[in-house]
Amino acid sequence: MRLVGNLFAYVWSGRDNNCNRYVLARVLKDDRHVVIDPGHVTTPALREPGLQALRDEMESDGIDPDAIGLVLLTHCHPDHSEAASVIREETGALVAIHEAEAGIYSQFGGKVDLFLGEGNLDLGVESPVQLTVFHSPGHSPGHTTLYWPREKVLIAGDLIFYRSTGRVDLPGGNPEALRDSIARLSRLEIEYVLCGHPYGHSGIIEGGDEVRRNFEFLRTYLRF
Amino acid sequence: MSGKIKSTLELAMEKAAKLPRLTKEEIRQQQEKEYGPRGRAIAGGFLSGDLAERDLDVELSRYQGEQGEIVRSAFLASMCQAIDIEDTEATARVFEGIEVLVRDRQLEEASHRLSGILGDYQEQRRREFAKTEEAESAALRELGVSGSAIRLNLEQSEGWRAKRSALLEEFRPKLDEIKRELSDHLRRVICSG
Repeated sequence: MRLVGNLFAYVWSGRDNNCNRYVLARVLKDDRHVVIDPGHVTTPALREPGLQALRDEMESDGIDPDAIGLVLLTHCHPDHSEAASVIREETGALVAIHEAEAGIYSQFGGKVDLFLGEGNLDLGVESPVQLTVFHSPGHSPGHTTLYWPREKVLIAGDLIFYRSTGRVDLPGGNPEALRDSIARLSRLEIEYVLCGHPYGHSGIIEGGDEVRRNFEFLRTYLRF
Repeated sequence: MSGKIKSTLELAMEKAAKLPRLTKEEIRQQQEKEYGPRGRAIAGGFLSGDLAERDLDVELSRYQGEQGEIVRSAFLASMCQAIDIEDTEATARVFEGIEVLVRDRQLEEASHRLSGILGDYQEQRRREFAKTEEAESAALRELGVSGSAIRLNLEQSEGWRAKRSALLEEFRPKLDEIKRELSDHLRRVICSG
């Protein structure tokens, strides 16, 4: 589903756990795409096809799934990152993740071509998509979120959900860091929060007012 | 039938007496099996930093005579093996450890030659790394990925791995030669001491 510009959102519709997948289509050389959090290859409990579903959804939007040039991972958990290794192998795409996630990611068999950290990320040669990368720990130590100022889009990974936050009980989770990360991002001008999962909601929080209401809810709940 | 009834101990001793005696070589091999690992463990402890330099002499001095020779030989052999062209700190520690037992002109010469090789290697590695980084950064820009948020992980790069491997292959014979010479020299010193 095209969300804004060349950003496509693929909300996970299976019954098992998997993440929402996002694609910046045809932004790189030779019309190659950037995939953000490709999710599971196959979901662990119900064996639902994750990567194949993404490929099918991309194709139905006219996006060639074999032309992926870059995979950005918000964090290393397999429900976000597992398919990255297969995509890397099959398409030659580069994989980027924060250095603090790289150790655990490699224990899952992942290979990291690029380290992702705080700063600017330009995707494309002529009139590139200009993103800002935020290191936003809490759910995991090297969790990152991607902000697209021009379109006021925040790709939030597992930091923020609709009326909820990412869990902090997994290894490396940290509630104080999570609160600080959310507080920091709440100051951005945002029209779309693209969450990592469709938990009781599509995970696409749309509209400045709705985004503010969500941050207000979290502010009360987290006291930042 | 008036013979004395032998005890179990006496019977066992008689049996043991009939067993062939161990040769000197076999005794040495048994001692090597027992004391070699102790020397290697002392080396491991020192190289990992668990054992301080001031304690090294104490640990090695626990063993005297032939056992001491085995422990010190195993220690020195492990130290020579630990010389690593990519890890100058570890290599410096190897020499600190060896010098607790041996300090002579040959060791000084070996250390000097090794420093030269390590220096050459590090310099070439730095140059090759910079060249690879430049080439891969250019390829990344060409793909359309740039910005301060991105840093290459060259350790994962096939191109860098191949270059590093070729460089190591180039330097390995020189390093092995020094290791061998040093090892032989140290063995001679220990056996003659």
